[in-house]
Amino acid sequence: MEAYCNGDRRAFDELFAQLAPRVMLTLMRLSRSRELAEELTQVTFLKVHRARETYIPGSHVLPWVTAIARNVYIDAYRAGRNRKRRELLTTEGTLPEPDPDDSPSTGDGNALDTLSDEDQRILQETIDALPANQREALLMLKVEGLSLKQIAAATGSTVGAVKLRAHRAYEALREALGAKKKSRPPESDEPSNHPTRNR
Amino acid sequence: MSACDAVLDALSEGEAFSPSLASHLSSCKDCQKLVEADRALAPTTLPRVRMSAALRDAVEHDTAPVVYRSAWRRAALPAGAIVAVLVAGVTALRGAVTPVALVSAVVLAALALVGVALVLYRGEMGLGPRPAWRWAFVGGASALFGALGLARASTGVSPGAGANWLASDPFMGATAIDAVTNGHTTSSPYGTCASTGMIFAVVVGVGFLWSARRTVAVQPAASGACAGVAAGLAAAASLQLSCPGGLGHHLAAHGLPILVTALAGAFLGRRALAP
Repeated sequence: MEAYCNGDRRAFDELFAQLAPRVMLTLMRLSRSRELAEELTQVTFLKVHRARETYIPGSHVLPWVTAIARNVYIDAYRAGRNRKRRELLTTEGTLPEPDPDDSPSTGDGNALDTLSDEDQRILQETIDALPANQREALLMLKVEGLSLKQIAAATGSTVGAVKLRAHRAYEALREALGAKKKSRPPESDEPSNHPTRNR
Repeated sequence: MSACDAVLDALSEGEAFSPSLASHLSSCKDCQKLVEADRALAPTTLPRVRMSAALRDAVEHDTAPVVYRSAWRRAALPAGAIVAVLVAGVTALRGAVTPVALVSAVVLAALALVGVALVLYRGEMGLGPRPAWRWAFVGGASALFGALGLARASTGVSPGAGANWLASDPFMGATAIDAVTNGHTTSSPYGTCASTGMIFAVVVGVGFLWSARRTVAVQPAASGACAGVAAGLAAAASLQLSCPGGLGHHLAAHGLPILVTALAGAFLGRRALAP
């Protein structure tokens, strides 16, 4: 980033190559649309370029870029909400449901394939159903690999609040995965007095 | 706290599992499932993304090295604008400055400078302070402005003096509030406080937005509102120095620019204070 700020054009290519996929994956999971995420990623890096003088040399780049990406996403969401006929939105004015081809569960950009099909579906549905701030905290923590402190800075929150959001997101995941088990007939090799069910 | 909750805590904090938690994991299928899901969330492969032609062009057309400006240099323009309107207030309005008016003006000018710092401070990650601080400033400074209006009202100045700006002032709403509050319309050379204040506030606000443009504010609306309140406070400080108006006049005519610039700042901030 510092080389790029010093006028090294190739450094921007390197920066883009390193950060854009991660930013795009987060935007993809937030927006639930690959097409929109790709467009927003380009806008994000255009803004990174314009705002490069505000980068503080020596500081972490990713939280700074993430904050810009977050603003871009919020702006796009608001613009989309205000223009109900925009093609990216459904007739109800909401963001479209995930395109099956774009869904992270198809293996693009994650390791969801290590889970069973049913668990993949539950995980994806649970993430999609999370409140926006919990989903954002979870994605920044796991997908972007930011620390709690960095997430707090990028979202204008506190470390405690971010931790609470992530905690609640994990609780929702655990409940969703547990509920699936409960709704299924018990398997013979599964203990009937599972500790978490007896709490 | 149960071991399952401790697992949730460790995951939320991104920490490694302690030996006791690792032992719990080996026996708890729910926690195993959660940890498996957590691992699955972390990307192992990332989507391919190509730089668009528009982005490439934008970068290639502007490769000049960044010239970093110190915090003092960035603050110089809005701070200079605040000083300018204070000087304008003293010289153009030519009122008799009472001790209470002076203290009131100094407090408001100092608050305006706090607003400058809150908008321009970038912090260790270049993202500025938490937006909650800026909103707290918007609320707190407005409340203090009201308290100072009360202080002015108790100093024995002629209540309502300066309220007769019905003919010249475009802010009829403020005039009406003032007339209701003070119950008369004495003539005054300071009859256009609201419009003068608006001009002062706009001068400071423009300087402010210019200095703060392209900051990476996490909530640009909060920064804009903060800048707007600071600009309005600077204008009010200038007017406070010499205006003999009463409580209603201070709150309405001097407060109106604060309200207007705060709202305008919140609106413009989303455009001007984000890259």
